[in-house]
Amino acid sequence: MYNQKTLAIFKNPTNAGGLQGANGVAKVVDKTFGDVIKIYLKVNDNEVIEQARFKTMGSVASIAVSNVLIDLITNKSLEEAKQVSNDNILEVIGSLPHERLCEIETAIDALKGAVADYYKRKEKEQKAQNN
Amino acid sequence: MDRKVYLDNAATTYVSSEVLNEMMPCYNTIYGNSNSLHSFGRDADAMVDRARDKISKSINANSSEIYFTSGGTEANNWAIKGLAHANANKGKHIIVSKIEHDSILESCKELENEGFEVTYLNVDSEGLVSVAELLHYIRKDTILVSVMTVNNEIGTIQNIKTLASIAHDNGAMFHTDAVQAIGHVQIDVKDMGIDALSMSAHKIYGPKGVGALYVRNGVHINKFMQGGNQEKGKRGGTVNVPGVVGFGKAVEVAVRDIIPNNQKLKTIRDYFLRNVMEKIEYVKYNGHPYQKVNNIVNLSFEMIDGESILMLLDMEGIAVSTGAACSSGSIEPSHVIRALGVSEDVARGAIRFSFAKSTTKDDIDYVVETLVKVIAKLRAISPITKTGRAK
Repeated sequence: MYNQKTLAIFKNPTNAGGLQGANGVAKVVDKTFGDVIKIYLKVNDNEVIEQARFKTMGSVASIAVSNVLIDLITNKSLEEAKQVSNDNILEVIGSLPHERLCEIETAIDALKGAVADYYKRKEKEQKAQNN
Repeated sequence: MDRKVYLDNAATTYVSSEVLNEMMPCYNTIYGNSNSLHSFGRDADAMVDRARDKISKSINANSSEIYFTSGGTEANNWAIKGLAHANANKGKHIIVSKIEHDSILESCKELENEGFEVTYLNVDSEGLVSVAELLHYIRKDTILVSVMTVNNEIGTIQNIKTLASIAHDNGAMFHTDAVQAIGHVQIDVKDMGIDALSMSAHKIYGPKGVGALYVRNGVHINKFMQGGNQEKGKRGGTVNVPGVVGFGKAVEVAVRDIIPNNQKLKTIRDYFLRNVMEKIEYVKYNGHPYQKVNNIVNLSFEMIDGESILMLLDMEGIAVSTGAACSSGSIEPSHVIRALGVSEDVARGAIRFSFAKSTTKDDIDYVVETLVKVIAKLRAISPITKTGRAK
């Protein structure tokens, strides 16, 4: 059973939707349940996440966790964002049904993927400029 | 006041006032132990007898062929294991369908561990058990075939008479789980060739915790529970007199009102289905187009997850189910929906809507209006598109 905090976040996720001009994007499929979490980042030249959004297909847990993760990384540097842990998310949400804890891992994997995508795009841009 | 609409009647129904009124005296007036010799006991026993009579008549059985249980799950456990154990000298092969209730499937697993062999029959994309497969897999040492009359998740009605006849032609007994059928489908155990049949009260406006197993006279079945000589010594334990009396009344009413209730439920079901299909895109109907009961509709809403749909509807006061209620703690997509051959993605968006005889068009209007919003909300935040690519 989900706690009230999780249900409240799930009912009104404040960070859901796509993001125009995102320069770091990744989608991860959860290995256990097949939930899909996609993270969009808009990172500025100082490598600070100015804006972030998510799109998720899955359980109450996946949607709530995605939303909390976006709150935790917005206005944070990429280095800080990469430090966000399972515990940081659980501190906000309180608890999750045991079998749904893996959704936190999926969301963090999507974030890592989006950060990697940002660096990949940046490297590509720099190469293009050097040429 | 917050609006509430309960569309999970295949999980359980409310107890009707007719049933409740019949039960009440058994709690404080006719409260004797039906096994006692004194007048208190005899009065209670007379009420149990009347209930047994009503239940047996509803399926064209004899009252001596009805054994009360704690519900459908117990009846199914007893039927599968009791029949298998009592007839193991004739063979150790059993055939069931892949879409049976867990109480059947888990009982079969237990028997497999004991050395029985179980064949699980496929169903087609509309949920019908393959008669051809039964003919193919049945053999000389097959002692029991068990196929549910109506599936609890999709409402498909099986060709019971044909399946039972194949079982008998090959020397096997035939059991059916009729928990979802009573009050929706006419059952005649003699005409249909049923040797054992499971029933439950709480799906037909009766109390929870009571059901029955019909076992045709002459069929050998092991006793279910050690104890006193209740239920002809086959199921020990003080009889749940209020429950049994409520069950008897619920069956009586269900059979009495089967035609008007079916008409009413069909109108509601068709109205719901027409509205959903008109107003929501990418919806897959799970089940048979016409060989189905009128109180169950199972729909897959593509590109989104069933649990999220259920919870958002719940937040608006609407109760539905993602699968069998007994396994709602389970996280696997429904074994029934998967058996229809649909993809995992479509299976995970499956929702069962099950109506009561009291469900109104006004209820349906509220549900459809809310459903439209819920589906749109979840699809707006889903990264899945119809082609399976991220937006």
